[in-house]
Amino acid sequence: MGDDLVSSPSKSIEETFNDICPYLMAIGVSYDDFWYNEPDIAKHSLKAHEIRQKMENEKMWLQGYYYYIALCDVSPVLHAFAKRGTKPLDYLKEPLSLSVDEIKEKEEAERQNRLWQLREKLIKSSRKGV
Amino acid sequence: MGSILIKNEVDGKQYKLAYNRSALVRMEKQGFNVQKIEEEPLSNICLLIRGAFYMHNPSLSDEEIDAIAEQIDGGEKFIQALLKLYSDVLMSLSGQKSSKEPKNFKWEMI
Repeated sequence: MGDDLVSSPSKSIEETFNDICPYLMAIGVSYDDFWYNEPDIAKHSLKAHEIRQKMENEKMWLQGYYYYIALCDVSPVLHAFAKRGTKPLDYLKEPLSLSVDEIKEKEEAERQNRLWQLREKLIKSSRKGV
Repeated sequence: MGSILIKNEVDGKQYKLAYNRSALVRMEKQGFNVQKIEEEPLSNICLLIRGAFYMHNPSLSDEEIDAIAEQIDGGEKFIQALLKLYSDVLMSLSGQKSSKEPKNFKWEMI
């Protein structure tokens, strides 16, 4: 999509638009919007389609990454010479963080959790000491 | 996408001028050729102006548009502005902007 859809000298404007119209209808632009409405509608729809495709691609990549993690977690038991009693690793307890804020939030929660555990340990050890 | 508003200062009538793809095809069928606008200005400019009325003023006949066009005090800048609107529609899916950027509009852009 792009320069290849611009009218070429060999094609009439009507032929060029007729070539583009079905493609844009396939991505959700109505016939009336294409021919009779603001020409920008088709342009924005095309951009929206590109964004949707990018998002879909990222979603599939993420899904592949989850599969990969799951496969790695289970790989110890798949080993042909694995020792008896070998267990797969636990799968991720929660989804991966995708935004910077979410990552920071999770790190802060983990830090607080560690501090809490340390505090508990200290209390216990001080009680034993008494 | 831009448009031009023309106003009759006598009776106050306003017309919004713009192009859509249907108008471009209709103009082409009537013989409009943007590349021949300098060779054959009379017919091509007439069709360029007519085409600008089709999108927002579909009830006007070509004769009525021609009569309105005779009353437009525009000259070359008006034609340049129409050409820009025309080429914007033509290039709207290419990601390119039309090269001619007319300045000092006498018309109200809406």
